[in-house]
Amino acid sequence: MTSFIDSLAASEKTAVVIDIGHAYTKCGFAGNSSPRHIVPTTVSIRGETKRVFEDNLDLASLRERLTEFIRLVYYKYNIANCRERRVVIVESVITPTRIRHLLADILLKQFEASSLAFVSLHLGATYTLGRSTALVLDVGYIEAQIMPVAEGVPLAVQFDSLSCAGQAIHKQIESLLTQHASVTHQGRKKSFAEANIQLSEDTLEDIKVRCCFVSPFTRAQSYSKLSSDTTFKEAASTEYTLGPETIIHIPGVVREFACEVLFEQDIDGKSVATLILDALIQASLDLRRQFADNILVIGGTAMLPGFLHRLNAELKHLVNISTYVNKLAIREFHFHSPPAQLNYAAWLGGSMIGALDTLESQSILREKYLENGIVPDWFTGEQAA
Amino acid sequence: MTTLLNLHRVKYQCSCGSFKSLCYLYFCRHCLKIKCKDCVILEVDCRFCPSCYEHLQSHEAITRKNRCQSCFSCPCCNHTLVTRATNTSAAMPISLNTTSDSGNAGGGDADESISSTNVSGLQTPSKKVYYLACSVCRWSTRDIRLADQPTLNSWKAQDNIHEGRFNELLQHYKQIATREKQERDRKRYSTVKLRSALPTTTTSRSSSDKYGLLAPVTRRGIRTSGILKSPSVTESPNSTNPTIKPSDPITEIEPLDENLFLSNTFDFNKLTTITQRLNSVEIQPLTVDRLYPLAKHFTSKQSKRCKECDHNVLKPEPSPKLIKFKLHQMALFFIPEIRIWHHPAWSATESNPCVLSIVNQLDEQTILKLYTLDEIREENIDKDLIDRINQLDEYILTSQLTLPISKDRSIKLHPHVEPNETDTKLDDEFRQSDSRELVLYRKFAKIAIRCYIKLKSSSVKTILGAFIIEHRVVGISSIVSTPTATSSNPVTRNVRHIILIDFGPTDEPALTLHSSLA
Repeated sequence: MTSFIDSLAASEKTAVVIDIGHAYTKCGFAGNSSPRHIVPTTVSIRGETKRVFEDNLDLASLRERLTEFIRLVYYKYNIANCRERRVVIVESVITPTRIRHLLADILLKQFEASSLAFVSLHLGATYTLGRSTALVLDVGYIEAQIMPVAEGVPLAVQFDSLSCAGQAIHKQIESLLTQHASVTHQGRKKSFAEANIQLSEDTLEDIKVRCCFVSPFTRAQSYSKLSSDTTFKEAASTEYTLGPETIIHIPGVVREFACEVLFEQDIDGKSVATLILDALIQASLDLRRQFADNILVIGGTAMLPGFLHRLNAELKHLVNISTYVNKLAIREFHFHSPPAQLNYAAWLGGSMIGALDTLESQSILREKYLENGIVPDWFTGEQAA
Repeated sequence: MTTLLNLHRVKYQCSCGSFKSLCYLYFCRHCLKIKCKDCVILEVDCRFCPSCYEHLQSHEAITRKNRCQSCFSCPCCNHTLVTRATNTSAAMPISLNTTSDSGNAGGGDADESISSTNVSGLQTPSKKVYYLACSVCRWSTRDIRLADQPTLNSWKAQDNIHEGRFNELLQHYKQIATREKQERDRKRYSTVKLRSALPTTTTSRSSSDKYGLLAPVTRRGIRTSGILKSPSVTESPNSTNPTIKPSDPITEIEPLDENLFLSNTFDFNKLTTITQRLNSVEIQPLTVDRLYPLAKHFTSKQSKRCKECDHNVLKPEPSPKLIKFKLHQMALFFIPEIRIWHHPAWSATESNPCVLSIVNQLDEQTILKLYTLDEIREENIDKDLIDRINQLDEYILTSQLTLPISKDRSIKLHPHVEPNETDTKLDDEFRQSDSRELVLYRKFAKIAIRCYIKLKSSSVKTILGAFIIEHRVVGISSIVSTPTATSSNPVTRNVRHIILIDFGPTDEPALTLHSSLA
């Protein structure tokens, strides 16, 4: 059986599977159990490294960057010819139409791929579990997206998203550092606000990945109820070296509570945990129990230490308070773990779909695209055929 | 002038309409057009390891997952790891006396090849053991407490622990998918309308995967199309389809490792950075002591092919060690190169005289004709060219470029020669026949011409001007009707190129005038 899979991987005609995220892109071949590379979604233009999906980019520059990026993915990372191969793009249901049209144009017209299939990442993730019903929550860089999948049908109408994810944590780190941290610059100690340092996204990401973690529920509750006399045992502080002359002293509160932004309820009372509960309320009654027993959390930000435990604790707490206690009868939640690291679980689903014989019926074929230029959309129901 | 050549100032127009510097362009000799990076298709020619140059065929490379077997990168800093050898004596039984031997496994890094003998004269076999070390960041396999290997090239890659489960799931879905595809194909080719057995339809609907998009289509399909003639298609032979075990929920979610994160001895330097984690995709270790040497990824050499005529434009040598090209049709070798030599301090109202230099890269003498945009418009022959000029003029150009001598400007260009060439006969000849107004300077393959720039309006910020050159190219005709012993008929044609020159901002000071031009 494994040799069959291996021979599939060794063929020249395996599909290429790419999951282009805002921060990182996972690329590899269909039928493999892990992507070949996970690379940041950046290109270097005239010597500078720039994000492909920067804000407020006009169509021509976006096209230039995306073309350059796809060229890199094919010839530097995957080392595969684009012509005569199928492509599978794993994407979210709410990817902007112009990006999907650009991708179709670049891949089918310019690089001459033989067919292109857009696979919903939430649906792909359920394949990795071997289940057809699940509530999938993807916590990425820009936003956290949740979508229920029932009996293999993605319920796109009940899709919801919230912008508390990696980028929000970065901003919170920056603001907490301004409030609490101090800096030793050229031997002299100052507060962070005085030192006026600009932290790049890469530095913030490094601080988030190495120094921060998600605080357990009980500690977070006691911190928020802090009064001036109760003592709170802070986590240890660290000294982060920024450059040859600068050291940032990051206090324990910043380390522990930067990720609170995911679980703090904002003005509308929403947080990552309420996303799940609201999705359950919106789902039809007969499916609720099934969804609550099959929750799948994927995405790079969900790999933060302590994330899942905290999410579970938050859910158990929220179902007992006023907003949800009357609407939802469920008191217990069960999570699943995919056979992959969480940041490429969606890619893995795409890899499975890309290895199936039914891929062709799901894709946009090159000849058809050159004739009619239609890129089917999840919500309009345009068909490719 | 901050850079000597100022490559990005002078741009040529490619056949797709974009403007690029000459060094980035290719020239297809079959369609006789300039091609840029976006007009060519890349194909992978050869895959090889960048450190040991091991060259693999494509199917072999794919089975090895595009990784070298013998070269490894340091997981900390991504430089190549060096294999170091050290001697270790084999563990001998107690009866033998002490050995006067060389270093043990805990220490040195220099190559020692002394074999040890012990007192009784028996040769204690001392084995060479190997370990990997990085010469840049000083990481080594001993840091992760990996045992030294007795043979070279025995470093095994780490396995993916989820591979078994993934393969199981994939097999299951493949069976469902093949079954569905067979059904769909049969339904497509059916002619006889038979009432379908109801159980068949319901089982196929619920157990096969229906993606949201295709649900309405297939529903329609089941109702309208008939089914198969042979009843043997009913699912009985496939009832042996083993259903896989769907994944179990996590029984106990592990809480945060408080000892690691909350304790006072937390050292964030012991945790891996995100780049280090993503380098080993399957494992993604959290702590530094679980990093493992990474097998080096292959790189590739690509050949480029023109989209229109499907002929190769650039073809490298297949061997990874050779950097030459089999086919090297760069635009630089066919088209004369134009550079800015001098421009005065810009005045907004008058005509500014500038000097451009033209360098001939061909090995034979050519005749170059220069045209201004207006002249081409007057000629009115090539509609496509005129369209392009008009587009350019309207949106991009900010100044008008005129050339001295009212018409019929043709300049003879000397063939490209070595720098120490002394035969000036041809050069002198050409110099005699030059018009002093147009050609200011000539030396072998390089000439300088004068042109005049008039800004379109005084609010112009950067000065962009354009003109057209025409020269002859010898192409390769792709159609050989009768196979002849001699080479196919070369096709020669005059081609025209639009050249866009960015002279820079209006407030740039004048370039210094070369003494030979004064």
